[in-house]
Amino acid sequence: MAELVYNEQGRLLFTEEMRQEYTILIPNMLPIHFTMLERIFNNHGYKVKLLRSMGRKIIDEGLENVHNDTCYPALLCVGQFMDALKSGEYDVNKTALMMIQTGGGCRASNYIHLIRKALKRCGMEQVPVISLNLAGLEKNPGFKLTASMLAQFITGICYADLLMLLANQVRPYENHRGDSDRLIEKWIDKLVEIKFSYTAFDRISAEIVDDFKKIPYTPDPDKVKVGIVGEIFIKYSPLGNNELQNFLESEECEVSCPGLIDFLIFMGDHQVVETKLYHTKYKKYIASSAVKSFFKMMQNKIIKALEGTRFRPPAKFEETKKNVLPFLSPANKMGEGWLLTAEMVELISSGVNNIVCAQPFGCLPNHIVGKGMIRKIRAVHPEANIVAIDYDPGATKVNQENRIKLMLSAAKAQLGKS
Amino acid sequence: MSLYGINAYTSNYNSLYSGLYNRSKSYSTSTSDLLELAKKADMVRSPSYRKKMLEQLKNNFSDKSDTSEVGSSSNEMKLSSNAKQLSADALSLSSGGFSSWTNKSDAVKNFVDKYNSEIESLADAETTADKGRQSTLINTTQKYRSALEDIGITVGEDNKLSIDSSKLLNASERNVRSLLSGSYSYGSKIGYDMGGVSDSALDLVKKFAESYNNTLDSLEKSDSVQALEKGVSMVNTTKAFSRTLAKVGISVGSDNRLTIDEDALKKAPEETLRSLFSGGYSYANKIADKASFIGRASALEAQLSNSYTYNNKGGLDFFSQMAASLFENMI
Repeated sequence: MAELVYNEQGRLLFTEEMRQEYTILIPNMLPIHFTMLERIFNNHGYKVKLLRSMGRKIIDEGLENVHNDTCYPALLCVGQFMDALKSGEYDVNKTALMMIQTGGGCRASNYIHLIRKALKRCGMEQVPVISLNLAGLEKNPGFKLTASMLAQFITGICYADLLMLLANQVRPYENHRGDSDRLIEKWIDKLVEIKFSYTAFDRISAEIVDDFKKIPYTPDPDKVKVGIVGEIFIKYSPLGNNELQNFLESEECEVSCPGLIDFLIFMGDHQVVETKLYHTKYKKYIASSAVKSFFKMMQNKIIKALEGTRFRPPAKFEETKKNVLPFLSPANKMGEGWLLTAEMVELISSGVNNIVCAQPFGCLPNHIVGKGMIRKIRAVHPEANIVAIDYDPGATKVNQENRIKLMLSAAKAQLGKS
Repeated sequence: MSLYGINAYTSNYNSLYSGLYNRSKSYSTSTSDLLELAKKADMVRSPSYRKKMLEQLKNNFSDKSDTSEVGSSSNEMKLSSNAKQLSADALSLSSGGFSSWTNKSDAVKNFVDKYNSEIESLADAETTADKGRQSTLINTTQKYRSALEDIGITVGEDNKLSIDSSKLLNASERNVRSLLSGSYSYGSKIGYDMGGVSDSALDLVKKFAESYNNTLDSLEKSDSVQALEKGVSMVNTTKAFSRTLAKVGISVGSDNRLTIDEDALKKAPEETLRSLFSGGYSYANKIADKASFIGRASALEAQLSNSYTYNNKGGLDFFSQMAASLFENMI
């Protein structure tokens, strides 16, 4: 068994020896993106397992192990980890946990400490926690993001965004239910083997779009288009939003969910704005500008791949940012910051007037840039039909669904009039 | 006994089922999907694959010194009965109601004795720390004076406590517990937890540990893939709780057997005992679930080993039944 090695600060390290025999658990935030992440890690010699567990027991584990004032996404992540470790499916002496740290002021940067606290509380301090970040936080000798891995992750995110966007627009209309899901599985199998190539991206994206075009479908003008915005974990994770996408699709809706690329460009844009406003380090400005430019370029490639097809492309980042300026300053950068409001405005501008704003308990920025902006958006766009849904440990799925159904009945009435 | 290889085994097993797990129940499946599923189910059902899985699982349990009658019907029946007993014992711990755990009168008597001896020892306090402790004890007790009187504890003029037996007899268990146990109780403020377990509860824990160890003994001679798999899961769960178990005097040995230190268990804090043995998500409940599954799987294995129906064309084995139920759900 691998020896437990601690650093000078007393943090348990993930060693090279552990890499050989440990299983690394990661929480499931975005089903397509994280499935690709899992597969890419496994191709690079790690044993990674994406947690797909659901259910009340996860919330209860979270409540037991973190303070009940902690935000709901943090509570769910900690709960899911603890539930997995206690389930008996994994040997606690050969399991590690992995968490993404963004390096910002919000939840994702601070989860890792909550996880360690919960592990200590449950007597499982021997389980190492790995931080996955690009900010150089918490290094581990057994875990290194190599250039090829990073390139695959980045391309993986872009392809996953394209797959998610296409599947969302095809799934509600497909003649044989499950066609788009099967296509996603097929493409994930192919894409995880592909190394990053700038030129190949255009070709492969075109192939993906062609494949989705071939799916037999029946247009249905009665389908209600519904956008999902909100805190990043709750917006995407079926565990966090009580399978919101499945519910909306079962209610004859077409779901429109902005991709992860927008968030990554937004992250790069942070530093650019910060340098302009507060004159922070120029070195960070250059790095962030590079990240921002790269993802904008990839977004343009996706838009180009969708040009001339029946599929609705994502909006260009600069346009999204321009649209939000009458509502919010770009200095609102905590959490999802101005991007959340921008996504709502963008959805309305593209004809998706019905929006579910997923609000987790304990996420202060989200309540300001999400729920707090609804009235202002409605003043400018009276056609907007936005409902803010609260997600917290005590909220019941039935109540959430009833509120969404009310929003949908208004949407259907509007659809009938038009 | 070691548990090396379970993660590798789990991922192997999951990869076979990945297509099944990820599919939404509401979707129907095409013929090609059914063929794909049938192929996967056949892989799992095949004798060579079963043999490979058994080998991996048995590495975790097999007692190499004694391999007699492994997989025989009588051994599977024995495992089934031991596992069912374990499930029943674990359930009686988790759902039996926590009120039976501690003896109210003993807890109050222990507390009063401990409190009075500390007050006596601090009578001539000279150091600041001692004076501080003395003041904490006296002031906190004065604040809770009326609540203490309700459960039959009287505060004397010398700040010592005495017991009114008739009042204590009539006091509710809940009131005693809320005063002497829990994070924000009077007991916690002066550093006391009524903790410990009564003799009857101690017997329950001993019985549980004995059943657990018996089940592990029987697992060594089992040939059931499902029982062994759940057995590994059960041992992994115990490992996950091992440090918490150690806090209440239950140690997990290198052979994964449980050993009880009765003195430590009698003095264990109630909150820790509650988190381990009380409620739906407790350790005891998780073990009860797994033991119940082992019981059913080994009973099925016993039936199969009597009728010799394992075959690669799908007799009445567990996997065939599972695959059939999956197909039924998906069509």
